[in-house]
Amino acid sequence: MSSLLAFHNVSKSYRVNDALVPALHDINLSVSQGEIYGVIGHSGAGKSTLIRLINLLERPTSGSIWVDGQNLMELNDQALRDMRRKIGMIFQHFNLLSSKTVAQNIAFPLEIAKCYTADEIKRRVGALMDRVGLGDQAHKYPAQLSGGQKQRVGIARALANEPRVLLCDEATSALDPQTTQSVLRLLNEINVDLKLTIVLITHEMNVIRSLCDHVAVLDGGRVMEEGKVSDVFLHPQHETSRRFVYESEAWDESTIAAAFAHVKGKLVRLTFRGDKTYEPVLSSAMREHDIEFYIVSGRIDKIKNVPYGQLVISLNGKQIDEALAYFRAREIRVEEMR
Amino acid sequence: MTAILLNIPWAEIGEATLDTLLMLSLSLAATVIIGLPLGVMLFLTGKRQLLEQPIFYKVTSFVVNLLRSVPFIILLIVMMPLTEILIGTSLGVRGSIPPLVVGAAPFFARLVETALREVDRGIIEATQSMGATTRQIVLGALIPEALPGIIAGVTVTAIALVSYTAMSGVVGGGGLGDLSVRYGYHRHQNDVMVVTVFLLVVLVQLLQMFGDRLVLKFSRR
Ligand SMILES: Nc1ncnc2c1ncn2[C@@H]1O[C@H](COP(=O)(O)OP(=O)(O)O)[C@@H](O)[C@H]1O
Ligand SMILES: [Mg+2]
Repeated sequence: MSSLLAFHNVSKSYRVNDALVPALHDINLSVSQGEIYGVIGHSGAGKSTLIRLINLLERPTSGSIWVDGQNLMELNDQALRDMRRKIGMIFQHFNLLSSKTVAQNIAFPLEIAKCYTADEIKRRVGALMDRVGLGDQAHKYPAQLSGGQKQRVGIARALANEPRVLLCDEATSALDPQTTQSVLRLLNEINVDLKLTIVLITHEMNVIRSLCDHVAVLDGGRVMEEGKVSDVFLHPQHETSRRFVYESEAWDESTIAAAFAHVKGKLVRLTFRGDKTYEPVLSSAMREHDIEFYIVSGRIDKIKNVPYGQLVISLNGKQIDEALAYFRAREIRVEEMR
Repeated sequence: MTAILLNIPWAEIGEATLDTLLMLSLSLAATVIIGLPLGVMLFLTGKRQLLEQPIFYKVTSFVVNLLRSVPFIILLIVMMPLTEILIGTSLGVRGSIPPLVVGAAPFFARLVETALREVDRGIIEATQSMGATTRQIVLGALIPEALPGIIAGVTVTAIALVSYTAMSGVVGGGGLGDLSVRYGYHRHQNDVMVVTVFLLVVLVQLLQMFGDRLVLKFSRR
């Protein structure tokens, strides 16, 4: 896949009272055409700074940022404005114009672009409102809408100029869990239907898990870990990533380790992905080899519609090694814990 | 009662009322035409704003403060020669317009600047992220969003101008203020003074009511 967006050694410091306060250190990222790329981090990690660099709402202190084959650092004012039209953005607090109706808010970027007739604008606005499920709200003002509806207007507005990439700055953080789910579903639909690349930042692992293909874990202005969501989620390498995963699972590893102390037998963690999750591998292993097992802990869920299972089991019997080989032969990841 | 009312020079009061309204509307129009762009410039060149220009901002800000701190009556007198040069006379309704505008425009510009600062930064950023020019941001987003605040500013300015017109009348401008001083102070005809003051009070009340209505009409929060 080709890279649509890339950061090369990007650093950003803010000037505060004549002192430079670093916010991002030497960031290297690459986002492929058509994927949903998530950046997760705690408050103050530098997420907003990072996403605002992509349309140069903030300028990097050093390094270069590439969008659609163009180096943003080399664009003049007019070229930057043209580029910004190709980059849609939605915000945590929506940032809708309170003085304009839903339809006028969505028409605004089209008026700014100055390349549509009034008729075209009207038609496009209608189609966009239908796309986000607000067909009947055209003449309401933002103050008359719920949070979820406001974000839908924000999404329609961001899509108006048919962008190459959509930036989401904590787009669901101000919404309740149900509304969050419906907005995430909408973003997923847009990604699939329009093949639109999405970059989102969040502090919630669940947003990453249900939506993203790749994730970068940000802490203290540095990328701690970067990779496919399934890898980072199932096998977090870095302390920060582990904390995010366990928080989202309400899972505290230290208490689990203590709970394992009196468990007899060999402890292994098995990770199933995709269709393997639903195959009776454990029972067939038990039938073919002289082992017994029981499940100590586990989680079974989906990562962006792909099922996974992760079980910690205790193995007893004479053919443990054979059983482990049997699992490995079936593309089940085996981690021997004890 | 009828005797008292008969004593009052109604024709003169009518004329003075028209003069006051004329002074008010002309000077208010000129104040808005000059003060609105000035306020927008103050806002845009301010700290951490789109066209940040510390030196320009400081100088303009200083001049604005200076004009606002000069008592209007002094401004009136000091401006007389300049007014003569500008429009050929420092008397009458016409002659009173320049000092009124010089007195009110800086005041109004500040109110505009404050109203624009009330607009959420996020709105500016969202508009920027659509690829808008500064001009499009100001005309398409900032001013519409700040409109209730700006209208409230016009109302406050209009009311300030009513009391300014009363003063400018004294130095040859005419209008209700002038009439009230001529009859009430110089001829001890208190009834005329009461009527003129009553008319000024009504004018101020009407302006406030009208302004409040407009603010409400344009508030969508
Ligand atoms: N405009 C700014 N001026 C100075 N410091 C800033 C500014 N914006 C952000 N920072 C600082 O940069 C760091 C990262 O902030 P931010 O990118 O907003 O993090 P996040 O979105 O992950 O909470 C924080 O320490 C914050 O205080
Ligand atoms: Mg943030």
